[in-house]
Parts: sequence; C-alpha cells; structure tokens
Amino acid sequence: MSQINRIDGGLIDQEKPVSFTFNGQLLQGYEGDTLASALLANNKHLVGRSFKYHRPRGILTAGSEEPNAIMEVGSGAYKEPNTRATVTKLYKGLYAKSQNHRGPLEFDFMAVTDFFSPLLSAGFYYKTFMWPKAFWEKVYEPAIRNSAGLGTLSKEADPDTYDKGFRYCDILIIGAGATGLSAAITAAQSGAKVILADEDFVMGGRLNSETNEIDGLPGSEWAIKTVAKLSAMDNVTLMTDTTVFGAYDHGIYGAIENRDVEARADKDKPRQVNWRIYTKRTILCAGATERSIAFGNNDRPGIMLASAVRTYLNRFAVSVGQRVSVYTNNDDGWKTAKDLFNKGVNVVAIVDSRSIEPVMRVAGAQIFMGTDVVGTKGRRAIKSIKLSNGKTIETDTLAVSGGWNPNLHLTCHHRGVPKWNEELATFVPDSSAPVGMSIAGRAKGTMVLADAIVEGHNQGSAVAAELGYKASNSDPASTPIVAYNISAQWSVPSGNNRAWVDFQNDVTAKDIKLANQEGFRSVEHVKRYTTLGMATDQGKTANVLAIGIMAENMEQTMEETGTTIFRPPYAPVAMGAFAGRRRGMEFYPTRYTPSHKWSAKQDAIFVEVGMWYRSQWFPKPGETHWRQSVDREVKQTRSSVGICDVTTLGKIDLKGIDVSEFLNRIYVNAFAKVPVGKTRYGLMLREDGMAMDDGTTARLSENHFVMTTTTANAVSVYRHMQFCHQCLWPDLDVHMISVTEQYAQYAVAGPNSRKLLQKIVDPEYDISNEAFAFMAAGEITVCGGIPARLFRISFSGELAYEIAVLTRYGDSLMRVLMEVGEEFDAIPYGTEALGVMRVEKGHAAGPELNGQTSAYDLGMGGMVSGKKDFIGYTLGLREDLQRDDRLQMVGFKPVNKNDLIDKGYSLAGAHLLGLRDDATTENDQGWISSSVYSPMLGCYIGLGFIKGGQNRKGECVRAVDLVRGSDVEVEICSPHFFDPEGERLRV
Amino acid sequence: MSDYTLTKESPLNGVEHEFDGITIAEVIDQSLVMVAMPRDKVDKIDSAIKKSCGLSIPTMGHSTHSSDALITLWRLQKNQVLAYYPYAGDDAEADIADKLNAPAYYTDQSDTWAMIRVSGERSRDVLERICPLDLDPDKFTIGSVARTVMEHIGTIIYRDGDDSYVLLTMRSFSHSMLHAIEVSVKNVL
Repeated sequence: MSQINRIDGGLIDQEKPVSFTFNGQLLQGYEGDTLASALLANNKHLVGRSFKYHRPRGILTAGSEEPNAIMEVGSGAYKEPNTRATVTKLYKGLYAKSQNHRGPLEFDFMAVTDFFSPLLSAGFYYKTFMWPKAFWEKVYEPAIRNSAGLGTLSKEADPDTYDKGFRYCDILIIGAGATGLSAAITAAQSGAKVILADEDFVMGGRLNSETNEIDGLPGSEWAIKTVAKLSAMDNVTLMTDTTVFGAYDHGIYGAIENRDVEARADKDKPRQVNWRIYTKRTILCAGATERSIAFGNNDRPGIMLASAVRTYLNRFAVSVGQRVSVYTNNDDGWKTAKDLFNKGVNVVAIVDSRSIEPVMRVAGAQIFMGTDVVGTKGRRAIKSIKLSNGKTIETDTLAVSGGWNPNLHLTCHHRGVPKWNEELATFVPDSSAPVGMSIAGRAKGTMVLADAIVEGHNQGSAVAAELGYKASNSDPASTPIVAYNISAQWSVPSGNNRAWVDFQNDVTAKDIKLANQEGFRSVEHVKRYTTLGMATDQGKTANVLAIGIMAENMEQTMEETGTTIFRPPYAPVAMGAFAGRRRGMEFYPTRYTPSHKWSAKQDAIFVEVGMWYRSQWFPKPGETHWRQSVDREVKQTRSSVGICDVTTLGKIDLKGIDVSEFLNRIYVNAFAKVPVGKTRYGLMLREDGMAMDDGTTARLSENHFVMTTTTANAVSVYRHMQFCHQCLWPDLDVHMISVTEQYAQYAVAGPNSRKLLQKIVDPEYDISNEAFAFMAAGEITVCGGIPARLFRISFSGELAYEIAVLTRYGDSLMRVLMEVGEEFDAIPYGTEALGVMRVEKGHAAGPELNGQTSAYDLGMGGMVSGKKDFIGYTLGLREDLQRDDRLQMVGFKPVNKNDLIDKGYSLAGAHLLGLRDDATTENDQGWISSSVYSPMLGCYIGLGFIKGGQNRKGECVRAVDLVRGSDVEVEICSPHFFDPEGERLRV
Repeated sequence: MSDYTLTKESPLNGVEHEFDGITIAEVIDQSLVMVAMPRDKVDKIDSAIKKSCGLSIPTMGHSTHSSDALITLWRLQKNQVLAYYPYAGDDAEADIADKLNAPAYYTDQSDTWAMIRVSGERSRDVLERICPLDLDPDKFTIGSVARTVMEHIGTIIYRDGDDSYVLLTMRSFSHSMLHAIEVSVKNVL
C-alpha cells in the first residue's frame, strides 16, 4: 500500500512522484517532500533505534533539530551516516537505511540493552569499569566501542566534491520565515545589498506549516509572493537550503549550501558549498524550536512535537495518525488539534497541564485541563496514553508541545549568555550578541506572529538606515494577533517509567536527577556526566528541558542553573565541506620550474621543496638505486660538467642610489664597495644575532644589485628587507622587487662549464678566466642576442656559473644547454647531487641555518665586520654567543671509512657522544645536521654541531643513532672535505 | 650568428577555453613593468608621464590609462606602480622607460606573472568561488586592481571590462591557478 497517510493539498507536487528506498523497500513520495514526510506518508513511524538502549524511535520533529530520524543516506562510498531525514529533500533514487541496530530494525538484537537499563545509569562507564584496571584497554573499551557509534562509515574516500565561496553583503538575514522575509523586504527596498539565507529548501519558515493569513493570503502564499518580489531585486541574493552555522569575527559568517539533489544527478557537481559571508550587519530571524515534556515513555514512535504534526499535515499533506491526542502546556499546542480537526483527522483528546479554561472546543475531542500524560504504551508504535487522572486513552499519535525555545544559538557564538524569560518560560538572547547582529521575531522571544512581522519589518529598515541607506516607508504585512500563553512544565512524575529528555543520547530525567544527587551541579558537568546534548543534534530539543529539570532538582532558578556554551557549528557540517577542494594534489598549489617539462621527459624524480617541484635526480637506464644516479651526477659534474635548475632560489632586484648602504646594513660583511660586475657572498642575521639566510649579491650597475636567497627563505628575506626599508630606514632610496620568477636560472658546473657556455654566449662577451674571473657578474646576450645574466659563482666548488634568461626562454635554454653539452657528456643534476656537493664543500644550508646558530657557530666569524653596524650586530655581541664551548659547525668523517656503507644510511640525525659515554641526554655533545655519501671521498661524511668543535679537530667521538641503531666512531674535521683550498673554482 | 636559438613560450601556451557565458584565456600580448618612484620624485614623475603619455599616477587600488589607451598604470603600493601595456619584445624595461620618460626605476615583471583573463556574464559567479574580495560591480569598478590570495596563490586581480577580469599569478603557479578557475567553471555552470 502506498502513501496511506497522504491527504490532499499541501505544498508538495502530487503530480510528480519520486521513488526512493528505505531499508531495501521501494517507496514513493512526491516532489517537495523531505525523506521524513515521505516515510510518514508511507506509514513508516519506526525509523531508527536509540543510541544507548536501542529503543524504537520515530520521527519527532520536522526540522534541523531532529534527534531520532537520523539515517545512513546513499550507498557504497556515497553513504553518509547521521543524515537527518527531516531536512533531507527527497530525490529520485534516494537510498536510506535506518541505523543503530543489529538485525532488522523491527527486531534489533541490541534492544536487550534496554532490559538492563537499571544497570546503565548516568556515569555507568565511570563507575562500572573501574576494576580490574587492566581490563579497561583490552576488554571494556573494545566492547563498548563495538556497540557504540551512530551509524557506520563506508570506510572509503568520499567521492563527492565540495566547494567554497565568498559573498559580501550589507545585511545578512538568517532565516526566511515571516520575520526574515519582512526584514529582507524593507532592507532591500532601502537599497542595501541583502543576502537572505534559510536552512530549508523552501523559504517561508513556519508559514509553510501553519494556516495563518497574512495580508489576506494564506501565509505560504504570502511567502511565495514576497520571495518573488525579493528575487526580482538586483540587490538581493536568496540562498535556500543554506545553513548559517557559525558567527565568526568581524561580521563573517559560515554557511553551508546543500546541493545534494544536483550532485546526485551530476556527480561532477559539488554536493555542498561552504560560503564565507562577509557582512556589515546581520539580522537573526532564525525562529524557534519546540520542546517536549518529560513524561513516562515519551519516546515511542508516534509521539511527535505538536508543531511537527502541523508541518506534516499542512505542508506535506500527511496525516501522521488517525486518532491523535495532544499534550501541551501552552496555547500553541491547541493549534495542532484545530488544524487536524479542520483536515478531518480525528482528535481524541487534548491534555493541558495548565489549570485554566480550555483554549477552544474541538468536536469529538475529550479535554483534560490541569492534567498530565504520565505514561504510554506500545512497543514499536504508541497505542495508548495514561493520564495523571488515571484515565487511559487509546491513540495512535501523541502531539506534544512543551513550549518554544528561540533559536538563539548564533547570538552566543561570541560567548553571549542567554537570559531567562519567565513569561515565555524560555531563554532569550541578551545584549551580548556578536557585534553587528540584531535579532528579530521568535529568535528574540517575540512569539506572536503579528509582532514578529512588525519587528522584522522595522529592523530591516533600521539596520539599513544605520548603514546610510534610505529607510523604507512601506507598511508591515498584517496578520491577526494570536496570543501565546504558557506555563512551564518540565517533567511529570512517572513512577518507574523513564522520561526521556535527550532522545538522541538516551538521557532521562532520572539520569539528570542522579547526576545532581552525585554532586554534579554545574550544567557543564551534568552535560558531560550524562552526555546530555552531546549528540549530533546538540540537544536542540533537550537542553532547555534538562535545565528546567536541573533547576527543579536543585531548587534554584533557571537563571542560576544557566546554559551550556554554544559553539559553531549550529548544525552538523560534513568534514568534506571544510576541506572543500583541498584534497589530494589540490591540498596546496604546485610550482613548476622552467625546466619541469624537459625534466619530466627525462623521467626525473621530483621532490617537493615547499610548493616547488624540483628534480631530485635523473635516473639513467640500468640504474636501480637512487644512489647510483646521484653518485654518477656528482662524479660527472666534478669531472666534466653538470647542469642544475636553480630558478627556485630567491632573486631580489634592488635599485636605488642607497642600495649599497642598505646591503651594508643588512649583511654582516661589507657591501659598500662591491665593484660593478662583481658578486659577493653575504650572510644576514636576525636582530638577535642568529644567522637568518645567506646568498650572493651581484652589482650589475652603480645603482642596481640582484640578490639571491635560499629557496626556503625567499619570501622571509624579502619580507625582512621590506621591514628594514619601510620601518627602519625609509629615507634610503632603495626599491626592491622579487624577480625569482622573472628569470630562469641554471647552474652550469664543472671543469668544462666555461667551454660549454662559450658556445652559446655571444662572441662579444669574453668569459675567459681573465676577463670573467671568479665572482664576476654581468649582463650579456646568448644565442644571438637574447639578454641574459651571467654570474661566476659556485655552490659545488667547481669552476661554475649561473646563467639566467627571461623565463620565457627557460625551457628552451635547458634544451640548448643539454644539446651543446653533448660533446662534454654534460648531465643534468638534481637536488640530491647538489646537496652532496655542498656538504663536500662544507656549505651551511637549511639544517645548519636552524635559527640557533650565529655566524661564529657556523665558522663564518671571520666574515663579520667590526667596522660597521648591521642587523644583528649588537645582540650578536652577547657574552653567551662568544663562548668557546658553544655548539659549533664542523665536519665529521668515520674513522673506519666503510662504516655505514653496508647499512646504506647516513649519519644524519645521529647524536655525538664521548667514546666511552653512555647514550644519555646528559652526555649529548651535539648532533649531525647534514650527512651524505661522498662519491669523491668514498665514505659517508657529515656536517654537524659539537661543543667547542672548531678547537677539537682531529678528536674522535661517536655518532650514535638510537633510532636506526648505529654507533660509529667519527673524527671531527674541517667541514671543507673536498678541495679545501678552493683551487678548482678559480681556474 | 649563433648556432643555437632560444624559443620563447608563454606560461600557459596561450590557453583559451570557452564555456556558456564564460571565457578563460591567457593574456599573451601584454608586458608588465614595475615603475618605482623615489619619494622625492613622485611629482616629477607625475608631470613627466603626463607630458609623455597623458598618464597620471593612479590612486591606490585603481588604474589610469595613457592618452592612446595603450599603457595602463596600476597602483598597489605607495612607492610603485605597475605598467601594463602591449609589448612582446625582450627589453620591456628600456621600452617603457623610453615611453614614460620619467625619473623612475624600472624592473621588468612580464615573465614573473602569468595572466589569465576570465570574462563573460558568469565571470563573477566563477570568481566568487576563489576570490575572497568583494567583486560587486559597483565596488570593484572597471579599472580597479587589487592584490589578494586565491587558492593559496598570491594573485593580482584587475577589472578590465564590464564582465572581464585579468588574474595575475606568479608564473610557476599558473597551472594551479588555471586549474582552480576551471574547477570553478565546472562547479558553477
């Protein structure tokens, strides 16, 4: 039988059936349904099991606050647990499964836990699993974990895509019910740029669920008309199915736009979009959420919030039962009886806890005033209710209203604390809402619709006027005034029957009482002890009720009891939505060097250096181990010529009449008199005297220098120099800009490097040793007039150059260099060979420039000028930095050259100990910072730091690596392992 | 004459994609030169460029055009402007110095940046997925220019028409930026 509970009307399209599957059964709903409304139309009341006791549970609400109807939606990798059926728009092929049961939903094996419930009170885990202690990790925890958890994951990567975006507005209006629509109209009419967002896929809020008339139209029609008016305005952006989940600093709001239906139809489309909305002002019109009352067995399927019964009836054309009862403590509950009656549904009883005159008469309904529901019967669906007057009433649905709680969540995201309103029997926002946020309508506690409309209308106008827009002079929509009267009713004495407060986490009134009795008096402690409000629904229907029960237990006011802290997100947000596009290779962008395409064709192995992809080595056919490639590249470079892309090194162009003075103040060594056409190596310190970065700076003309930095520090050095210029010495005429990407730069190193370059450098430029000596620099042309820069500098210790051309020619230059180099057997070399050669030459790099080393520690004390002031000079003179026993950089080589050869790993990371010392922290003398296998020396070598190292050359210590298990005797030596006199680079 | 020649290529090989309501195309005919203005020479530079090209120094975040509309100056920094103009040769520094004839320092930036134009009636819909700035057409008016970060990539955005924006990212990032724009198009259209 299909949709037996469906009646005529509603805001769905009954001409457009939509098929879906629930627990393997093919069912049908209509376009405009939620999954929950379609299930109810098909008489599916039992839709899940509770978390702890596996109690049968039905749909409680019709909104985002739903604690019971949470399901696994989607199949395979698309499966998502804990999806709220009440806000899931029905689409063709939707696949849903109930969760939290073993075996069929109707016969859950785990329901046995319900029978042991007397043993499973609040704090059960803490009390019960204390002994024996050793059992906790091995026995108790695995067993508990096995039975816990809401839903199951697919354990596959989420195949859906997510996106993010940025939107700006003058006024963000959160919630498109009567209040929000009223506010949006006046705000928009004033000319302000407005974003109106609503978590529902249809705007109108409660107007779609109720039978109010506004301006003579049914509320839902007025909403449609108003939305149409707004959508025709250029300054309005309407965002349906969009949950504003957090209020962040500076008027920024997070919002998730749900596009499930689109994504299911086209898998390439993002399923959700995480919007960052920048606002000048916000009007929160988020409405209110109805709460239940705690009475015995109040959790049976068929017991539903009264407002939800109206939503299913009026909006979705679903009569949730045939013999409905109402239990309320406020006037609003009576509306449910009235609407049901008007739709021809049999109302059997109205029970009101207040001892007042009945609010209305409903034909056929027994009315009980000053009476409570104290118990219910029916395991998988309610069958009857028992009243406090002893009567039992047969019923298939119980609509409960315990009153309304303003949705003030977002007002508290900046640590706002709600205040208690006795008349409304609820918490309302106080003045501590985030800056720029105002609140209107039910979210503020304005429970009468007519008043809420006026409030929204006025605030839309007032907030726009505050921003300088002309206030709208339109009149607010009108609707009859319907009073809201309530008398707080939290829990009903129910004997041995449990009265549920938090449906999702199975917390009862008794659990709260027990927690209070055991000394948990703070609302935050009770929350954590009982798990109240800690499930995916965050206690939206439970918290105020629980606070009421706590206040009664402890005989204190609601204000004294207080609320827990509200934090984003307002509603669950998929982790994927936060990750957005940033998955896999798109986690961050990639930077490619000018020679990347060519290198990829050579099957280069790439390494990520920051965001750069650099060639690490270039394997040749037959090479089976990276060391074979690297050793070959080193040897070939040192014997003939090798080429390495060094574009990634930072390049900073400096122009101005004061650049030499500026550099003099930046570097430890003198730069004032660097001649034009020369390069100088420089070391710069931080203000505290520690080494910051090193590199070379060439003077290309009187007022034009170009500096290189390490790849890693390209940005920080530039920033440092900008700081120095802008803040310390703004009077200096210095202009700098990064040219890292402007030039493709290649190191051409090895004894044949000059011969190679002479083949492409245009003949008018003499690059012989005499004309272009070590450390020369100049602007030249290559290949028939292409401008280039040539620097005779060497990181490898060989005769070497760095040649730079406009990046547009970078790929071409690499190919030409390799073509020209064929006669010299030129090879490309990668960062590994580069690293090996720099360690062989004893150059400090990243591992040595670790922020804790001074120029003296690095063995570069001789470079430090005593004749000028420079950044780091004064603090570099600190006594402690002058000590002889500081950790100083030196070289280390194994006493036995074959050590570690068989193990195949270097000394890197090993700690240095005396020959007879135990490997303890107290005996630690230093560490090896960089270590490589040197094909030139035929052994592993290392750079490292050891106490007083520069005066201990020749001494032997042990390099101990407890992680990899090596203990090698090493000799402290000069860090210049290869060609210590530097003869090779000057030829 | 050298035995070897170097051939040039643009960062994205002149990529151009057309979609419904949106076009993505690499800008390959423009050069970009940083024009640094010494503090004591700003007035002189202003009058010199007025005289040579009918240009003026733009206010921050805006641009000015030469009288022949070929040279555009962008102001993103107090002491510099960027000259964006059609030039395909290898010596943009000398070329613009000659054209502007002003006592400034010039540094070629043409190869530093990849330039991608995103245009069409849906351009703002596509850009709002990656651009954190407010591109409201009445706020980010034609000729506006700004530096920002898109998808972790430092980016300059310049509005050169009603529905047309040029994004500049460091050349090495150009493939990532193109990909980011293409994903936005796919997600939005």
